[in-house]
Parts: sequence; structure tokens; C-alpha cells
Amino acid sequence: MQSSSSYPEAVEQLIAGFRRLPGVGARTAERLALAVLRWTPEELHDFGLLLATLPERVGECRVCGNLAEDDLCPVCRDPARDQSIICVVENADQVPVIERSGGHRGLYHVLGGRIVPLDGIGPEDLRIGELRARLDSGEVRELVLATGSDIEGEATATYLARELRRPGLAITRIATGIPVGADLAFADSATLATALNSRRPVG
Amino acid sequence: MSILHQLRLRGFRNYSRLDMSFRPGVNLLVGGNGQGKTNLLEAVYFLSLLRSFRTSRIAELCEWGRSSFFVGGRMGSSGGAAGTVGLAVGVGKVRRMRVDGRRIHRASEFIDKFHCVALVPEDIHLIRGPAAERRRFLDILLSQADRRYLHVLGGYKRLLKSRNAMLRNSGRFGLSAIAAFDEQLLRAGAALIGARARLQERLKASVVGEWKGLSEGPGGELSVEYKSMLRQGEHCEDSEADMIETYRRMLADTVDQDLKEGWTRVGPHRDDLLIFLDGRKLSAFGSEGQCRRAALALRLASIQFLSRSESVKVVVLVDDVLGELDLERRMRFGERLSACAQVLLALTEVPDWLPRGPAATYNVGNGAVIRVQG
Repeated sequence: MQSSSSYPEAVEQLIAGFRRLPGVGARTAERLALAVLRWTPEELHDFGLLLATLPERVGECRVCGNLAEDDLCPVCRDPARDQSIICVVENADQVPVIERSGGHRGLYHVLGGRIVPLDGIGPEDLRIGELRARLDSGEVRELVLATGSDIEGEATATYLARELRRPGLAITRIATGIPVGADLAFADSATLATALNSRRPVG
Repeated sequence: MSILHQLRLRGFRNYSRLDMSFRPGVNLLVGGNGQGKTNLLEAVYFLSLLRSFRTSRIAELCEWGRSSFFVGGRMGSSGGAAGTVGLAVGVGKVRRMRVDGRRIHRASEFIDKFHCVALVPEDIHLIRGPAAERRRFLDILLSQADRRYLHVLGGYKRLLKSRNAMLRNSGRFGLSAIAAFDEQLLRAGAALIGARARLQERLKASVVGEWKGLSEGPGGELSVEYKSMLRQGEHCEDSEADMIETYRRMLADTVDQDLKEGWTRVGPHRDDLLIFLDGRKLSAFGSEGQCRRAALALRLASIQFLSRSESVKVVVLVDDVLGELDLERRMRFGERLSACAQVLLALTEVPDWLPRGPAATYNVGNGAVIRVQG
């Protein structure tokens, strides 16, 4: 542990705060803290207020569990979205990723995690009841399961597919495979094997 | 797929600092007991498999008083060096793995860089030890031959642990969550069983000849049989789809009992490789000498398995396994070793049973190695 005790206690605490962020090491945290020190009092106040009011301003969408500033998230509020397709993701941070892809025009459902027996996380810890209630309303025709492709993500998808199966509802799973534009030589063998298993006819 | 040209050790067992090179063919390591011959073989083995053949506690590999060590190697074809592998290990944990200077994170990217088979006294556990020893033997061999096996094995282990965790906490997870994980468990488990069964066929074919070479007189017939509760008898040709169905049924039949006891009783984690001499179980009836020679025959058969393709070179590490062999058997064994791409042979004195002079001879003493020939 290198000592950086040449800073005042308040700056030390700021550095420690930045270090909690993903991808930030000791050196970067120090630079961020020093950069913030150069801000005007107004800038600091505004930024601090933003952080302090975050819990009251940002919550979960009542319908889908996505991040929302109001009762409903921007996706659920948008009448142009296809109400018959719901894409199921593990966490809210996956919604903007799929949004940017432009490949999904329907709604979302954020589970709030996945089934991880080794961490004691079971189906009841996820927003599965809420999803079932949405399906009960009868408007949904397709459920796209976009949980992760690792063991727990796959198992959660299998679990949902079995639990939510009902007439008139198509349940699909996003494909796993070779990144678009990637050279096969750079794909790891597990990805390539999955891609080969889920091959489809062409022409 | 290559042989070892150079070895670098820092703080490994009794080697504070060692840089040495090896030749293709037989490399003779000569020295008294306790001088560090086995430590050298152990370091090379670690470089290949990230484990020791002597201990499961990696911290023991550190030089006395240190908390980390480094093992590095330069590998290549028998013509010249082509790649490097480096491992920095802290107490009990691999900290950094590098292949050709590039940092890698998964053991599975490491394990097929070069293939080692160790012939060591501890091999007796293959015969006398619990079934887990023989499963590990199969698993290591299959992982060396195909890194995808290691990937599936890692997945299976996680799935099994997850299932057991759900069995012990069934109120929270329920049968449908267990069933969802079972879908993957079945597939991974069936793939492992299929691969092990195919390996058994290969071993069965070559172990007979290897045993003859090590035996005096008729010596009987050594055979191996992979035993899995998911394969009835000898039906190796069972399709994987059939096996998955059997597996599914057996898991369903036993889930109540599993729930009661909190562990999974069906699957490849309970399999065994049975070893017979003339149809009788060797572990129960064999003499110490027979068991040691059978273990040696299994190791030689696994060299055959790994060498099945021209491009694969196997590095053979030999330590103190000749006690059971008379001169004629030793000479046959020497012939066998001479045919290998590279052998590191540890002995207390220069042997009289090698068909020709070694490629290189080293004196090993007190944490230092000096090349005296080659």
C-alpha cells in the first residue's frame, strides 16, 4: 500500500470515493479528485446536488423495472413501441445497449439479476411475478429472452421459458455467436461451437 | 505443440535462481537424493498443467521464506524455439500467465501449449487411490488433447455445485429451477462421459502392449474399463442423445433422494476407471510391484494417446519409477523413452540401459544445475 498521506483528509476521502467506480485505479482516482478540486464552488454544488438527489429522482419503472425518472421509463411511455414484444434482460444497464443496436422496437422487462444458486439468488429474487402479470394482460405475443450466455444466464432463460409458456406466446432466445464483421480466427472455441450449433439454412 | 528449450525458475522450491536449457531427446538429470531433481521436473510439469504431481498446495512450491515464485519456459519445435510461457505465482494462486509476452487469463488458454506426462512414484495412487484420482487422470489427459474438454469440465463443475446448492436450499429454488439448470448439466455431463468413453477405448488398446513390455514372462493381461452408471455395460456406441435421455430419467428418479441428502448422486463425477489384471481388480489383488508397473503402463499408454498426431510432441518427465524393473525391462523402457520427442530423466547415477547416449547430461546438486555433456 503506497502512502498518499500528503493530501488533506477530505481529499483522501474524495479519492477513496472515486476508487469505488469501475475501471478506476489509485492513480486515476487521484487525478479525478485533483481535477474536481479545480472546479468553481457553483459547479461543485450542482454536481453534488445531482448526486445527492439521485435516489429520489431516479427509480424503477413501475411496469418494466428499467431506470425511470417518473413512474414510467421512456420506453414504456412511448406509444410508438411495439406492445406485443417484450425483451427480457438481466439488468437495466443492458437496455441502452439494446436500444443503440436499433434491433428491438418492442418493450423491455428488467429482471434485476439472474438465478445464481452459488450466491443464493433464486427465482423469487427476480421480477418474474411482474413479468407474468404483464403476460396475463394478454397483449404480448413474443418474449425475447436476452439474459447472458453463461451458465446462469442460460439457466435463467430456460427457467423463464418453461415457467411462462402459454398458448399464443412465442418465446425466443437471442442468438450467440460470431460478432458481426469479425474474423473467425479471432473467435474463441466456445463461441464458435455455439455459433455452429445454432447455424441456420441460407438461400 | 512443442518441446521445452529453456527453463527459468525464481524462488521455486530449492531454486532461488535458475536458467537452464534442454535438448530434444533424452536429458539426463543426475544427482543425489534431496538435491532438487524432482523439483525441476515438478517445475516443468507446473508449466504444462498449472499443478504439481506431488502436492495440491501451490504455496509449498515457494522457496522457503518466500511468498511467490516464477516459472518460465521457452518452447518450440525440435528445430528451434518458437514461443515463451511465463507464470508468476503468489501464495496459493496463479497471479500472471503470459504466452509470448501476452497476458492470458484462463487456464484453458494455457494448457495446450505443451504436453507433459509425468512418470513418478505418486502414480501408484492411480491404481490404489480413490476413483477421484482416476477421474483426474482422464480429465487431465482429455484437457491436454482438447482444450474444449477443459471448458466443458469447468462448466460441469459449476453446474454441479449450483445444483447441490439448490438441493440444500430447495425452499428458495424449487424443482423447476433445478430442472432449468439440469438441462445444461445433462449436456455437459454427457459430453464428458462420451469423451472419457472414447479415451478408454484408446487406452484399452495400447495398455496391453505397454504392460507386456514391462512384464517378465507371460505377466497376464492388463485392461481398463470406464465405468459410468450412465453407460450400461459396454454400450459405448450409445448415441449422445440416448445417453442424455437416460441421464434425464436417472436424475428425475433420484431427485427426491438428492433433495434429502443435499448432493447429486448421478453423473460423471461419480465415475471410475477400473483396472484389471486377467479380469481381477488390480487394486484389490495386485502386488505393490504389479500396481506400480500397471501405473507405468497407463502413463505410457497416455503418451501414445497424446502423440496420436504427428504434430504433437510430448515431453516425458521420469522420476524414480524403475525400482520394479529388471535390466531387460529397463532396456525396453529405455527404447520406449528414446522414441519420445523429449524426456527429462532424473536418476541418482548414469544409467546402463539407454539404447544410446543421452542428448545431454546435467549434474544436479544443491539448487544448481551444471551441464556436463551435450
